[in-house]
Amino acid sequence: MVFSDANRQEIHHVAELIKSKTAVLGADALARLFEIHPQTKTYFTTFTGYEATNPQVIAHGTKVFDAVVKAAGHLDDLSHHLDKLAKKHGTELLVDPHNFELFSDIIVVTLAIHLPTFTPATHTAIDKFLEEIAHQLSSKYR
Amino acid sequence: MVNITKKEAQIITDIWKHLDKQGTTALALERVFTVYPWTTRLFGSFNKHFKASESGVQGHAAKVAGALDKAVHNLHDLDNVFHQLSEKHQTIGVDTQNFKLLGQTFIVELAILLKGRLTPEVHEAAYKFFLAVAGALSAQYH
Repeated sequence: MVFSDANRQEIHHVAELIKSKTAVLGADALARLFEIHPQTKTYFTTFTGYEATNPQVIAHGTKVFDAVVKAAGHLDDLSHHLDKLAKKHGTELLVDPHNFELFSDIIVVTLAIHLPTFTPATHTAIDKFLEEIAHQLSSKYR
Repeated sequence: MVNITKKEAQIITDIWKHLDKQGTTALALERVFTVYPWTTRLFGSFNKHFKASESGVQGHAAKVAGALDKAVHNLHDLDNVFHQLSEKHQTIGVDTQNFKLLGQTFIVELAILLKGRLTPEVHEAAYKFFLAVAGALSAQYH
């Protein structure tokens, strides 16, 4: 994936905006994923609930969004940076990679809700970024 | 088969009632053309003018908004509503995936407009609506 200078600016700007809100955004995004794509709950059977107020949803959502913020600082070595997470998803968690696409679309909508602006240019950069993360997370399954 | 509940139907009708239909559709089209540039494939006649305010986009938005209006008022008869339009889109050569992409960018426009009022429940209703419309538009392809 090639990120243009404009893409990089957008991605870094969004990461800066969300880095102090990963709990709120992460919980919101995850709750939306569980609501709109109920099959995703099958990976979280130990959860006591699937709403944004549930502590387990908040904890996991925070983890995911913290990882996204961190990845924004590694646009030139995403493959290396995400290697461990890719191995974890591909050999241990065995999440169907299709779910990364579903979640990416939901993350985009969550950002559109919470950020002050979300222009087509910002949207494009974020969509590319999430697509690359999904691609890397899917890379160690077989 | 997408099952839109009575409550979701009410949510969809309410959202649509208060929407600037032409305006939001035009913005969603600009967004789909920007974020997913391959969707411009069959719009050569727009001469690379893909901004919402431009006449090509406005013209297409009027058509799309009209069809969506009919859909909102006939939620349980979508295959019928879109029968001819489905045949037409196949004749033109439109990849059915495009319908889903426009659904996503339309939801992003709703997210920007409604912010927190696009609750997970409302988000789900919108998602199912556009999924059902995409399905109906794809239904006559052979």
